[in-house]
Amino acid sequence: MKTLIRTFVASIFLVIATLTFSPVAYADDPPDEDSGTVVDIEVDGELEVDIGVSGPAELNVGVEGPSEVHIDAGDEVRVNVQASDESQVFLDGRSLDNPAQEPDEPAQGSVVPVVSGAFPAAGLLAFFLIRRRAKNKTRQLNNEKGEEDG
Amino acid sequence: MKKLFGIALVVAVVTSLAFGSIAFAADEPDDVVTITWDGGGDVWGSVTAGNDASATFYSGSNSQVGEFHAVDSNNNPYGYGVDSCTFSLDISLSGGGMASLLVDRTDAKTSYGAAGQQSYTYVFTPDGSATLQNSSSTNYASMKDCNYGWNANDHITVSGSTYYELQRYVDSGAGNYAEINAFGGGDADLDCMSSEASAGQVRLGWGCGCYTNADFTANGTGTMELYAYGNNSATTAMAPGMTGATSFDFIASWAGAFSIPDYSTTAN
Repeated sequence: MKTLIRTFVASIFLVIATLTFSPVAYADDPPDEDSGTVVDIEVDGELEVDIGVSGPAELNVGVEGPSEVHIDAGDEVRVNVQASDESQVFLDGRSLDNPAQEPDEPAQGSVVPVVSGAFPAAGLLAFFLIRRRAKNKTRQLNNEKGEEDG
Repeated sequence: MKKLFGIALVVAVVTSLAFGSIAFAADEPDDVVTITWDGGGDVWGSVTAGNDASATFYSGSNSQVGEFHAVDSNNNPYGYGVDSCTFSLDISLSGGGMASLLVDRTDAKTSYGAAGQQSYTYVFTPDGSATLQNSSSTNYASMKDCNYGWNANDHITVSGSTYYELQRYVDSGAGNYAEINAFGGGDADLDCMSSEASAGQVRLGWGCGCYTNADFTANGTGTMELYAYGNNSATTAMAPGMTGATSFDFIASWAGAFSIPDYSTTAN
């Protein structure tokens, strides 16, 4: 009975871990080549610019001159910024100390796939450990019972 | 015991797959781009909404306030493989400047005609004030510039200029085209509330199932041109009763006050 309960607990943990984190892993995939949105913005002068992008997209921003640019990018947006020293660029409220990022460098979300893969894996590991312990316990009980019968 | 364990495992896997599938099958969210700016300088950019549509805009002035929006709905209506997209630009320039918006429809359900439509709007003045507004939407069937409910009037305006240029056109990409343009000095106001373009037809200044608001007024000196050609026919409210034309080119110049109450045009 205990084995059954443990098996169910492990199964539920596995289900919750998969449901919770798997969609994040999918959502963090780079935009599909055919349906992804690509946004290229160039700013030159002394301007206050607000850029907001959501959905799976690639956002490339170039800034020349003493402009102040605020970028509000959703979790699925890959942001590339190239800005002059005179400019101030803020990404999701955070000032970019070194705005000249390498092209194609994802600005955020790179940790998520590791996390999303780790939790289901941990759930699976826990499941098998509990299952092994339950098997050992059952074997031990059977042995003890056998000795008593013998 | 082994049977129970097997059942539990199967339940876990099936539940994960079932609920996970629901999460993935949910509608893909819109891709939304919003850009606003205020100050002196140049802002330009482009948004490519997959292979469905793209827009390119430019705004340059010593003093300007601008707003650009793009939405890729990622909705794939009827499973035709084409997402609906909307692009809009709203700019106010002072002390001279230039602004433009070009929207390209790049994908279509081919039974409705091929893609290749364009909508373009442009204004330039070296010293006056100007505004430019347009909203353009694309889907599997056509391109429509429907400004009713957003900005129904004053889609291009110029005031206090020694010189200005303005231009507005729709192109089917398949031999049908309509354009109104003007240059001069003083003030100008172009209303172009609705326009449509598909492979088989363009409508400039009317469409979208809405009343027609296609007038042009100017003060000062200037010249305007209304130009269209079609594969079969070109007509305009400026020449009511005209039949049999496959193209036309009307040019008017003025010194003082000038007005066209309705320049709406169809070419197909």
